[in-house]
Amino acid sequence: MELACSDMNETQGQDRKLFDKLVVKHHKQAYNVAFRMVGNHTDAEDLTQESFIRAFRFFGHYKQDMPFESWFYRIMLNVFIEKLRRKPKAKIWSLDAPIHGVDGDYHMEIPDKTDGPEETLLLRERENRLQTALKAMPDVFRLAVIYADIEGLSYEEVAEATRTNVGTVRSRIFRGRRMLKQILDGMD
Amino acid sequence: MNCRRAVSRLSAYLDGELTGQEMLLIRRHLTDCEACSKELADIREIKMSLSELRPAVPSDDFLANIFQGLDNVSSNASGMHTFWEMHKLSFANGFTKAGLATCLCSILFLALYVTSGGPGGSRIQYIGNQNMAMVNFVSSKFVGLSSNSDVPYAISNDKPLPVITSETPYSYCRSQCARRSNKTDVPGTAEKNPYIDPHIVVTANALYQ
Repeated sequence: MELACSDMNETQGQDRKLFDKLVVKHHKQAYNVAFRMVGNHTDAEDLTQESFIRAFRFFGHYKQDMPFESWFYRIMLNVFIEKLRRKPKAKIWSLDAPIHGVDGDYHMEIPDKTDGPEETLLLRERENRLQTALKAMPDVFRLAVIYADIEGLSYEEVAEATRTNVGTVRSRIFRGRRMLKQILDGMD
Repeated sequence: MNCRRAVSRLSAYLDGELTGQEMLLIRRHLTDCEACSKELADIREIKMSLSELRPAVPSDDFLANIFQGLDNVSSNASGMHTFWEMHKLSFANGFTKAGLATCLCSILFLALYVTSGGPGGSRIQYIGNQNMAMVNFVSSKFVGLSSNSDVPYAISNDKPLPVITSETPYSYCRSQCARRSNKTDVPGTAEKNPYIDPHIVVTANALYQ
């Protein structure tokens, strides 16, 4: 019995070492996907951390014939959905919408703390617009577009990560991109 | 190909996710259709904008926080898994030993059947419940037994004899062994009853008068 315990500890130790290597390799990419899913840094870090922890718990079930990213994104998607269910729906405020005050309408001004050149400011503004538009999309379409266009996954990989088929992925990506364009056009 | 079919495939066309034939059909359509060509340009622009997004950067201690979370899982899990695995292995070992001992007992009974000599010889009969083996020695050792597996008894030519089978409660075996003699006086060896206790088998020769 003592021999069995030490064997198991050794196996768990090996699993942990292997998993740590995968974390080091994939954590930034995973964070990026999480950020695009939730739209802010705090939630993105929470989502990523929780996803890695859950992935570690189920590491014994991971079959290496599937790419780790696909398997991990599947887990992250489940964690994301669970968090959405637990969290009350937040109202989305437009940064450009006027705020009705007693003396008239005001517009929100967000101080820019960076002193970068104009190009950086424009780039940042464009990214913020895109992220806002992404966040305004329904989850299934947003995820399909994030996996395909930001992460560069193939349709088959997206299907594996979202537990659907290629046909559904194709439809979601098509409709997601269209939706994104309509939202961006509406913001102009 | 009409515009409706073409438009629904433009994303996949851009991503190279269509079959060769479909790609050709779309390309032909695009050469003649300005509206679909415009739609393709719009999709291309969106795709490029998304792919050019700079990666979001986590905080400096992000990786350390992940490892801290994994450490917590590891320290909680090792105790639990060890506890469960220990008991799982223990059960498995117990069943394995019991299974082996039962096989040994069966082989032993078969061996007795084959090798038992003496006047009248012996035979094994299976009556009633198939799980119950009846050892019937015409000799004075062991004779028959009832179909009542709860209280084994024997009818001999002369007098009742204790009968040990795989169904016999271990406490009875033990009491009979203790009453009769120590091991040196009893031919054969006394081993634990495999059905009751995986470590003891009482052989047919162990109890006799």
